[in-house]
Amino acid sequence: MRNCEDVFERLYEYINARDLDSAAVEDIRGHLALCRRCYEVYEFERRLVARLQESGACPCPETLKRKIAAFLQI
Amino acid sequence: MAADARQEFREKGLPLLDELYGTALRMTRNPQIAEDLVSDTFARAWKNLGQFEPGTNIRAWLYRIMTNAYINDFRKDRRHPKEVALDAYEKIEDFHLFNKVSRRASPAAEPFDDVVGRLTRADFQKALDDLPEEYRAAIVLYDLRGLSYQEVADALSVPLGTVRSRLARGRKILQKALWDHAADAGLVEKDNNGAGIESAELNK
Repeated sequence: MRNCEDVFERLYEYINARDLDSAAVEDIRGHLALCRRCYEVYEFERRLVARLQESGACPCPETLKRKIAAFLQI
Repeated sequence: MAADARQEFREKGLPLLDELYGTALRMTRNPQIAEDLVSDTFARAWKNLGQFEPGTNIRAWLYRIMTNAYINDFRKDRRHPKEVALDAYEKIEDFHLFNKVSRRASPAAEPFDDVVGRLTRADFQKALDDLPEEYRAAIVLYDLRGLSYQEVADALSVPLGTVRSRLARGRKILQKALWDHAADAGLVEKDNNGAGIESAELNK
């Protein structure tokens, strides 16, 4: 990545660990190691996504699990 | 051949129930409908096992079936999703929440902990649930469930570019909602309109 703009554009792909080839991942990692501003934004967004993920975690009701298991003939 | 596919489906599909239910709940915003959606998804997948290539990504396949079912059969407004007004997102900048939190009058040592860390799980769920549904679906699949752009595009039956723009807009609206939640909770200062304000305005 040549500049911060490039990093910002790919930040969520980097956080998601998808859709970036290894060269791009290395570029971003290198930039984040050197650029304090980008690192702050990255850390913030990464933690925000983590909290969002937690809020979307709801275990499947047991009754539904049993019903589907029965349907699949477990 | 068929027996192998069934066995693979049992072994790999069942462990995904928790995350599929969690996703269905965020999409439908209704526990009973979410259960119906998950049941329906497994029934369709089981019936169409012939279309599943053993060894390929069963998780992405199930998300595609479930999202298609949600869009075509389980959404409240099935025919014409409301268009999202430009002003919902056009004035919100990227990394809105980071900017607001960083620019507070007396930034705490740990700005994230001080504001975002003190928002509740319910705050996050509400902010997500209040998103226009096509943005919510994209954010749930990409940010929460970590599908790739292509997998999300397949699940939503839209082009890659559409996935990116829904994600960008959805994040803006979501982050503004979280800032407003923080203001409502008294975690940050409010202005006369009840929205959260930044330090520059405090000093006027």
